[in-house]
Amino acid sequence: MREPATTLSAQLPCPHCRASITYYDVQGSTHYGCPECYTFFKYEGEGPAQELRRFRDVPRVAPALPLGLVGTLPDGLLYRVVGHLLRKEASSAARWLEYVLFNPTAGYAQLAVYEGHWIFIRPDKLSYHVNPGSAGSYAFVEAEGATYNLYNKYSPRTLYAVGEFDYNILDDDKLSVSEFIAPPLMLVQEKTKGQPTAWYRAEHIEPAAVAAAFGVEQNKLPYRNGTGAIQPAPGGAAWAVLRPLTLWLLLLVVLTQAALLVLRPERQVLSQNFSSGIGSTPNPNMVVQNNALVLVSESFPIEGPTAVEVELRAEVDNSWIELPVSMVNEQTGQSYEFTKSIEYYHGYEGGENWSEGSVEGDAVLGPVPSGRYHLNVYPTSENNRPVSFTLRVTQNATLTSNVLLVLAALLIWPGILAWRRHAHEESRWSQSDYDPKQND
Amino acid sequence: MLKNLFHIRYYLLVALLAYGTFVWAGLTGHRLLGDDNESTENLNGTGSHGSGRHGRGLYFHK
Repeated sequence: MREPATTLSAQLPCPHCRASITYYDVQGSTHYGCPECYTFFKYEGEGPAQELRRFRDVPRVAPALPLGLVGTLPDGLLYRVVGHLLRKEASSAARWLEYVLFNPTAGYAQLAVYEGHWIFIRPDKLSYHVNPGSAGSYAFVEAEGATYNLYNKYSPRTLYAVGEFDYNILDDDKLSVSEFIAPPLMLVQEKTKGQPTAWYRAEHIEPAAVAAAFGVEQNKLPYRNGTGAIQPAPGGAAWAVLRPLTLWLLLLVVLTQAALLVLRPERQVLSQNFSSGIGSTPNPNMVVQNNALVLVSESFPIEGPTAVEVELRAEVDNSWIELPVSMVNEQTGQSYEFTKSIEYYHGYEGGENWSEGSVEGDAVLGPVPSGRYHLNVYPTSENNRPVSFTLRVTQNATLTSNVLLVLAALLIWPGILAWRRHAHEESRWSQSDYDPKQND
Repeated sequence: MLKNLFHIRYYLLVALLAYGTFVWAGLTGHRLLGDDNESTENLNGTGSHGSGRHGRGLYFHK
């Protein structure tokens, strides 16, 4: 619903410099700030204007949205910029600029900008119950299924005001303001002694949306610095669906791996002992070819295509053995080759036992097609001493690295996003005295 | 729900691709990070058929 921002306007002279001031809320405005001499005065249509203050703290950079500019805000209404306010907190140096907006039907609203972060504020007719919190938590408000946590409490001071206002904005210095946030929303509580509590509802608005609403160039708006009080965390709507989906995908991968283990269980197809040396007893597996010792295993079947794991265990003790292994398809001659060095040393030195290396090794080959295979082993040991070793061959080997790889792939983006969101929240609450985590 | 999924369509695409690859690798015995096979020969090997050392050069590296 678009409504006119008002075409009615009137002028009145500044009581101090006589500059003409245009105002748009002809019926409602009672206080005015002169954009020429910064005199703030009261004029209620009758009698002489009453000068209340002359502001000295003029912004060095002119506000990006000039008085009189019209724009459509997130509530779909046309508003006109009718006032500028520069304010600070009484107890800190934090300053922000407020743009007073007027729509003749909807009334007043505000755009506030602090460190380049914009929020759109409207009066809220509802009143909210503030839970005072306990020893372990700060005050909060429960509303519409969300928890609004206390973010800031302050008393404002007005440093500069130009344009028109429907009340004496200097009275705001008596306010006690509490801000409760549930990004991208905020509830603002304003309390004054002897007056009913007023509530306002604020929402985050991107600088690009402000620029588009008022038809100004975005680079004319103040540079955004840090994290806004109700600036949404990265990911926004995506995160709400990404988190549960990622958990479901991780579960799906684990269940799929379990199903693969059931459908294609691991099966040991060979387990055979060998000795690397000629030794004193005849070795039926031994072949000497081209003056090199070759150990040939029994033949075994493979039902493929499958991943094959070859596990090796050697009886090495302060020595080493190198085992080049070739797994040969007896029908096609296709071979799969790998070499494993197994070494294990241990001792006692400086009052402590030490050891290094291992007596075991393994290799994964794949995909291996169906067929009959055998292993050829070409062992070399330290000083050609005989070393006993065992070879075990398993088909349908569990490929744990595949599971870890796909889990990592699924977690990369959610992980980065989770980290960015965490950093965003840390940054947001680092500017607050009421960080819920600091009160745990 | 569909509208929400639209926000993560690229992630969904990559996730489905990753999951499909994982299932394919599991069914066909592919290790995605590569296996330990050092052989560079083609099918049928470079050597002779029969028992013994099929298509394997005599190399003992250390």
